[in-house]
Amino acid sequence: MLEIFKYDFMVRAFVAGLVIAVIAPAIGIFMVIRRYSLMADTLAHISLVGVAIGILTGGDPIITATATSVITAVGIEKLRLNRKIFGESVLALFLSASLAVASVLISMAKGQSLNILSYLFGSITTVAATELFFIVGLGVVVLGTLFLIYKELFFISFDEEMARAGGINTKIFNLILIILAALTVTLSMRIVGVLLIGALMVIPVITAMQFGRSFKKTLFLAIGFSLVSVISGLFISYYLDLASGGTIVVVALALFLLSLLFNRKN
Amino acid sequence: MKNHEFAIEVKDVSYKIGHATLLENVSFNVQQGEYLGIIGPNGGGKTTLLKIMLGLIKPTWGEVKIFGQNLDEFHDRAAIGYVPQKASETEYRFPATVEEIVRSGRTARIGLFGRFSGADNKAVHRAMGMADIGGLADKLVSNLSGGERQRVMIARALACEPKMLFMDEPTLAIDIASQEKFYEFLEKLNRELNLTILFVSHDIAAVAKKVGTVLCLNREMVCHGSPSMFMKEEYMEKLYGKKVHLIHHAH
Repeated sequence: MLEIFKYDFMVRAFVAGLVIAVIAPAIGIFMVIRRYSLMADTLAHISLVGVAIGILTGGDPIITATATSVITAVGIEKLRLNRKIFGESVLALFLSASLAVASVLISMAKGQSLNILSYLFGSITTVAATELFFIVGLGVVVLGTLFLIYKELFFISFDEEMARAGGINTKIFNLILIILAALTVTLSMRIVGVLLIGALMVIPVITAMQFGRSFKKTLFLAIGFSLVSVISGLFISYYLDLASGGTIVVVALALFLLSLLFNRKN
Repeated sequence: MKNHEFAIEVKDVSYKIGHATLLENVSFNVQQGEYLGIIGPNGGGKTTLLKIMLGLIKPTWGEVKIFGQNLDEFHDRAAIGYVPQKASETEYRFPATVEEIVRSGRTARIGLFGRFSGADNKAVHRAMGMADIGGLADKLVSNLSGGERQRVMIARALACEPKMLFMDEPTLAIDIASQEKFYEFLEKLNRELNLTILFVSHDIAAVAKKVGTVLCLNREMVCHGSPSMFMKEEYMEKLYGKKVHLIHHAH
């Protein structure tokens, strides 16, 4: 057995990492094609507010972050639907406002700044056994839901108006998608960190899109690139003692640059 | 579905946004198997009327019935195929093949949580065959010409085996040489499948020659009847607000 797997915390990090590597691009592809790439980052900043609330109140930060991001995600969708504010302005509003609230709350939690850092950049050593169950459980829920409503999400993503004319309740499916995105973000916090989860939802998808395949093949390619990024990123970060989140995203970025070269060559 | 005389009944429909009236007291019926062209000037309310009939927007007043049922109570959405305006201007980076796009048109027929069956696959391939895009099944939709994309969108609408087909300016992206072929294709669908077709266009000449019935719209209904009926100078003046001299020729 590799030395890295002799430690329970590394095994937990790998299991959590594999779950995240699959669900992040699976949700991310719908965000990217609907020009909602910024949504992941916005939800990540919102979940940071939830983390701060958890630390301040002594609750489990993962649970408070999940609740905060899901509730706020519903609010974002409502505001987007009323069309009085541009969709991207809604995201910018929530992104900056949540960062402001999170920084105020964090400054109130004196002596906990180290704890916050592990959520910002990811820390593979901090995935507790109970958190792992939570991550795997919610991961199954996210993937299962995605499997069940894949055809509706595809239809809506390609042409929302036609989907509505075809009797698809686009409001409900958009809401489900944003809630799934919120869950994915909070699940990924421990591994890639709040500041980098957006990258794991977006970079493998745009990498896969360089190969000009069908939607389904693009989705599986994106998951493949994400798995390669997470697995090699975790190995590299362990042996070189680097931040796990940053290393994973740097690997994903390297794959994206290679895919650009492939695209140019073809 | 019961065999109603009318596929669509539109009664006293008006649509206002603020003080602006986009449609006023529009009433007409469309029989099953009818081939109706809706014409009028830009801003005359053609697309608004189409969207009201599709249930995408609610009229300020009036009611719409589809196959005898009020629009709110009509749930067999698979009976309606829709090709929106600018359908050919597909987001060019969308990673999907022609078959995947056409297959998505089957979603309403399959229903929530349903999976694609062999019968669904047959319907998808039949729709691609009718639209003459069978050879493009594995091509990325982003790599197609405007005319080919338009055919993909029509195949997608046909994949759910609709009873009615709504099209909004379907010839915008098609070059003049291909338009004649396109109209022949629509006539064939109307004739062979008894498909009710509602077709919004600003191309008066094409509508006059091709459709069975014409609805002229300029915020209110100017005329409704056979194509020969509306080619009169009085209707043209109501439609376009200016004296129009019609020149009839053989082509």
